[in-house]
Amino acid sequence: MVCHPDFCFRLAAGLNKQLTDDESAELRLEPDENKGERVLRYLKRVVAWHAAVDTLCNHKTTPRLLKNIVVGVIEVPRFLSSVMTLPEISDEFFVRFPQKVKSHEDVVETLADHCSDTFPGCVHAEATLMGLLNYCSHYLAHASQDVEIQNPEMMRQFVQPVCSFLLSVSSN
Amino acid sequence: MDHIADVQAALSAFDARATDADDRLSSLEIFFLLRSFPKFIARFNEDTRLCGGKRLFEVIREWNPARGAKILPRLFDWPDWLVQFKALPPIPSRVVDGKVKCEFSDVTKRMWSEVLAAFLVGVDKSIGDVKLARGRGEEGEEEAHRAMRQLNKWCRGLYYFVSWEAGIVQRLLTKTSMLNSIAIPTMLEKTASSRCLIDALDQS
Repeated sequence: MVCHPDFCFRLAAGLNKQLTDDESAELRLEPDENKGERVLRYLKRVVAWHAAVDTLCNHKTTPRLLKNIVVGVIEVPRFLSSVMTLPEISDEFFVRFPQKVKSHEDVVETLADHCSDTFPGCVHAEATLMGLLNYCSHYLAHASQDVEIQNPEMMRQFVQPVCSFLLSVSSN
Repeated sequence: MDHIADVQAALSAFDARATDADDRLSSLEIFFLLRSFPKFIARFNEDTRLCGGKRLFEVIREWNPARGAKILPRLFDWPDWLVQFKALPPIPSRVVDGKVKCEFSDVTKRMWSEVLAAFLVGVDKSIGDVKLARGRGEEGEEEAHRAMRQLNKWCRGLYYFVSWEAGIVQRLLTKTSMLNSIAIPTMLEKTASSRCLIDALDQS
């Protein structure tokens, strides 16, 4: 099968964008980190492969250990890569924030800006969620800092599952 | 699966006591660099985002340090890896009891920053050379291989410099004004629309 050049280009561009997005996400400023520490973390990430090889090759037991390891493959069922649709997301939103129904169009428009057919994150969805919760919990203790999400209660409202009967009421 | 098997085979074949251990280590490092090349490039180029659109080596080279900062002078033995690097700016050193030592101080911090910039430029230039040679197809294969070896050399040097127990890179980045010219990054890089949603929720 011959790949069309345009398709190949788009595929390569897509992969590069994904790689760049992954790296950008990893280099977000961490709590209590200053710019010097972040740049140091950047440098350590650049040389991470060399650090790993150096560590493994300088460890006396590595070759013996690797010779005695059997690598096998465990087949796992494929997980669904699809994500919630815009109507599903807006339903969930209005169940949690019913008072925003009066701004229905504005909210749906804003949510649409963030919707995607696939999960665009670089890490597992649950891990992203954990990170967000962790972030919000951290800033509860530093409420005076200039950050825009200062309300863990709002996060809880967002992520906590709601009863199914409520959902059915909202969709009627 | 094949990649795991390849990695296992490559690592288990390495013998640190072999006479050509250094060459084998280089081959192993190049093996990993080749397998991760697009990711490595994406990772290396992230400095522009950290430095407000500039490359990190540009920020370093533009640094004009003020003298008089409180940096206690420190002396270190010359590490072997540093001796082997010929294409570096002068290394600040001082003779103590007949022995040449590396010196990090308020006076020499600028020279050390040039050493860091030289490693970064070396990596950047080698990446460009690899890409250029690869763009020539089969004709540039040998040249690409040579450039990859050179890239690996710079990467290894950068790794040694960053992880050197003297902690010079860490001191330059965190104890001097070298990065003062770059803007302080925000906690969340948000789009205008996400801010709009958050504002709407705050008012609810």
